[in-house]
Amino acid sequence: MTRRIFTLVLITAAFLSAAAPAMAKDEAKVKLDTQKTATVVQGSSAWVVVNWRGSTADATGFRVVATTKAPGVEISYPDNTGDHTSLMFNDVLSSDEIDFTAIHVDVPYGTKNFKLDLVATWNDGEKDVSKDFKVTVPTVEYTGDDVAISTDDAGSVPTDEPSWVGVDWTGMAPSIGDVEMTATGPSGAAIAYPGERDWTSLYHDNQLDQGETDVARFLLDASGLEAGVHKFEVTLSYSRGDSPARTSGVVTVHVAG
Amino acid sequence: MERSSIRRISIVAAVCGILLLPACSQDSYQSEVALEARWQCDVQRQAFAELGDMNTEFESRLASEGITPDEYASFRAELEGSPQLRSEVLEAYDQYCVTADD
Repeated sequence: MTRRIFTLVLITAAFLSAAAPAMAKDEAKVKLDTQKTATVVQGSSAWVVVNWRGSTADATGFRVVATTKAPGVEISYPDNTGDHTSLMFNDVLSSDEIDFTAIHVDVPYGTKNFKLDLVATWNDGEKDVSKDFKVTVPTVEYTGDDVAISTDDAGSVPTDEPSWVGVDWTGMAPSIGDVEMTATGPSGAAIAYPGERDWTSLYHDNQLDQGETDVARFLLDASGLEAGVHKFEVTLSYSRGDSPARTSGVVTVHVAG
Repeated sequence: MERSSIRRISIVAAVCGILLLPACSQDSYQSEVALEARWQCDVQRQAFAELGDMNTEFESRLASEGITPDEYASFRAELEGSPQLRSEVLEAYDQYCVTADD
């Protein structure tokens, strides 16, 4: 009987000594699991994601604030958290849990790879903890056309009264703004623009988002033109980020007899 | 059979039941564990134009795995209270992410 009790005591002591270090360090630790986010195209904005890994105990009230030294890069967070970002499912990172935070970055043209400085704060069950992390946001230059003209044939106009001629444009590059269009036609074509300006803009606003198509219209008085097909050169000037740019295309207009 | 023997068998059966029950419930989440591990790894490799695009992508993954939003919600609830289930996700995540990195 004494031997049994002695054995039991030994086993219990061995178990407790093995468990003691873990119990003594039973505080929530957090590790950043993402060294590099997804690549963001220069001139665009995007939500990037960083993963966090919990260990040992629950990190409650988990929140992250991001800053960067990269000029012109703007950072924002989900609407429901406002001035910080938190985890996808709740604000607790439990032991061995993987969860992520989303951060919105607005990246100007010309921005090379940059770092986000992340300050993560949480409560480890006894006290508030704050720790700094860094993650790299790779960027890539946009390649391709900035905008594309989507109209070849602008339809027909009568000769007895001025008519609006519409030209569709599609945004291809990020951050296309300040869009203005002018048109030149054959001798005898009288061209005017809305508001007595010397240019016209797009129907919805003066910006083209990537993939967005919008129409720019000019007023054509074709009374001085012969019936038939006439070519008009249209020129689009715009800003690409902070840089001015322009492109042009040709549309055909049928003047009715 | 003696009364004490019946009692002993009952206790053994109860203990076995307690031990086996969590194991059974973990096994039933195999699809969710795999989905969660892959999603957590893949999501950090994508940039999203809108936050809603992230949800759309995730819902698409749920649908392709045949997991309903209710089933996933049930899994998430279980995950919060189960260190073992979280370990399974973490292990699957590490394996998948390391493989995907190679």
